[in-house]
Amino acid sequence: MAGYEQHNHNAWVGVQVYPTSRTEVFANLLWNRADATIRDFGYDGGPYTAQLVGLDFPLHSASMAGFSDLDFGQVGLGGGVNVRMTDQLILNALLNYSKVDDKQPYIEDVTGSYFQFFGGVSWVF
Amino acid sequence: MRKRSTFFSVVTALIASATIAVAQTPSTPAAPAIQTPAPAASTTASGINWEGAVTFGGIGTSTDGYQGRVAEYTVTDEDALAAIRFMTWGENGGFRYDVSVFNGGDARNQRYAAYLDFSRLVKARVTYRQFPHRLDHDPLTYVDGGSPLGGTFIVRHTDTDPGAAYRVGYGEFDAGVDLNLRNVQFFLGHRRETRSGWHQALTTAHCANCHVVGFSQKMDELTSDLTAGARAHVGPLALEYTFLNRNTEDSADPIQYTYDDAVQPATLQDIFTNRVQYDAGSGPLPVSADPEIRKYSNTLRARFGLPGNGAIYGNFTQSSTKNETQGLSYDYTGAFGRFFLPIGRWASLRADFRRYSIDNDSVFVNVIEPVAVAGLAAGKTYSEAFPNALPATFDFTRESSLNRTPTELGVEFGVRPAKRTFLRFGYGWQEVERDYFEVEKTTTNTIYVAGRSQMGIANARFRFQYEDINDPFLYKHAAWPEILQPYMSPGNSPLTGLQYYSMYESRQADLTAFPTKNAFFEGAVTFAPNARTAITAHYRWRDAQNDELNAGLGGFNSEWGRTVSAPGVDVWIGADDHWALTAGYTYNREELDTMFSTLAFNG
Repeated sequence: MAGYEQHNHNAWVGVQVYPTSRTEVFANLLWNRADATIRDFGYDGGPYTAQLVGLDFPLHSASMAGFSDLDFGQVGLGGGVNVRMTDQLILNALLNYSKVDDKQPYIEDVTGSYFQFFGGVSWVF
Repeated sequence: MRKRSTFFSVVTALIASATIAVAQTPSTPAAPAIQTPAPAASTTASGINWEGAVTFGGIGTSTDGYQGRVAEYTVTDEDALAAIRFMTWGENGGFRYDVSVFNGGDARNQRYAAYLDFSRLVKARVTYRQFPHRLDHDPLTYVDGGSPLGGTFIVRHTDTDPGAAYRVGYGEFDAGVDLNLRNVQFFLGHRRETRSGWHQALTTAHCANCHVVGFSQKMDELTSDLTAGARAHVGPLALEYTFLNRNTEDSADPIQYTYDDAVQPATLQDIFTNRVQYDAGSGPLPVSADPEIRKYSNTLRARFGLPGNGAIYGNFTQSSTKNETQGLSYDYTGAFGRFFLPIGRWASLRADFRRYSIDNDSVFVNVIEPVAVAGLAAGKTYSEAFPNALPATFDFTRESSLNRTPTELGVEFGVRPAKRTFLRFGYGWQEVERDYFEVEKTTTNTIYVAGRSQMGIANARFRFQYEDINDPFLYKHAAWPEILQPYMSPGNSPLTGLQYYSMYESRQADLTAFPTKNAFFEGAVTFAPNARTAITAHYRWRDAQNDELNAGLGGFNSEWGRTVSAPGVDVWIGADDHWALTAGYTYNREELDTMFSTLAFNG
């Protein structure tokens, strides 16, 4: 029997540390990996390609193997620190890196990443 | 203590506001051992106690590759952006307020909220948020194909805006006010949702070639809701009535496009105009036009308390959704009732009833049937050109498979056999009757058992459910057509074998994505050896099968099945007041077994 099969792995880790009473440090990681494919697809396009005078449409290829293979990875890595300088003044810094890895582009390659930084100061009243 | 909460709420808010690590932020652990004494809240001369925080900062971003997936809802422009957040809250006697403002330096990244409470007599809220949504751009290059037949006997594409990066800005305004009198509450709400930007619109010209064309289509969509209602409590009886009025329209003008000439693709003779509903001779036609939709609904809910913590619940809903552009309506009428009765201290009985109907207007489709302008069929429609092979007209009435009247009954017996241990046994029956579909009635019988228990350091819960479905929804004659005539017909007639316009009618195999047997199990066990450690293992499994299709037809096996298996584990450790760790892993494996069928025809 033909069919479709997919596997999806998700893992995450988050750590929050308070080395002093006025400092918070945190980091987190999110990881995902997924793949999917048609399996056991017993397609024989030979008769059609022979009949239809050499048309080269994808569905008339002799095999559909790998037609919809998907292989996708994603990672997100973040971290930051908050330091309370006084009862009212807090310094903040955050970093984040996210990446999508399209290992088997289908319609288009969606591989991409971004790195983002935030720095700020907070006043509590 | 409130000040310490502020310290972390500022940080948490900034994380979310700056769209950094939103999904990855771990759960907040036990309160840290920050010993800084919190100063008293500020008090003005008027006596208002108020607190708050303001944050100024900057966001810098570096990107690589396609952003439509990794930053689908995130502003990642590589400009330095200034960000500001302001939060304040306070109270004075019976008056309370909570206001927050965030602006990420970009109009597509901002949020505002205000909540006011006047002695619980009047409560008001106003929120507004805006964020971007990146949309994909289909390059269409994969559709291209050619042949040695000459002419325009090809599949081709035209992307009229190949460099476009599609994106819409999403905005949502929500406001409401509640008036609380002694036994009666009135509420009024208004919500506006906007989507503005550009997306890709596609259309296809046929006959002369298969020509797929992509456009940049403007979007200027507004959905507006008005909600009003009241709640009343009279002794053991509680009533609530809600009225909703919703309007959705896209005020952007649709693309105007002139389709290709419907010429014979190999010879380029202008003899195929009776094979399409429109071509170049029809002039510019709209592409990707959205209709205006209006919806209203009336909902009445009631609860009547019985002695001994028993209760009867019920609701009735009537709604109508109308396509104002086409004058077509979709009506829903439904009722739900529940009876709950405790039996002593150790057991309970629950019974549910639900029945609703969906009525979708039938649509008469008046197919445009032009005549051929040249050739042997000149002056004739396609039906007139082949009177023995085709119906007199292609007009038809579309009757919706959505029309249905489901009825559901359920009964559940709950028991507490031991301290901190609960078990539930249930049975459900559902019957779905359809007006216009070959599967007129689907009947489902469901049994389940569920429970939870706490034993020492372990806490466990589970649910097992089995459904037996008679005549599930399926598509009769969905696939596997007879083999087309394997040679070209001489001239226009006689068309001796099975022709392409009859291949859909010759399909033999039934297909479905719904089971006749559906088994489901989920369970979880949590171990908490001490107050600072918790480990949870969980597992979910589903096996859905349909072995009542016309299996074996022509040597093909058209059985259908879907199995899902998803184990996982979560860990939380808060070793002391100075650090905490959360971690987890889940795995999901899904297998689908089905018949695949593709019509091998070149148009």
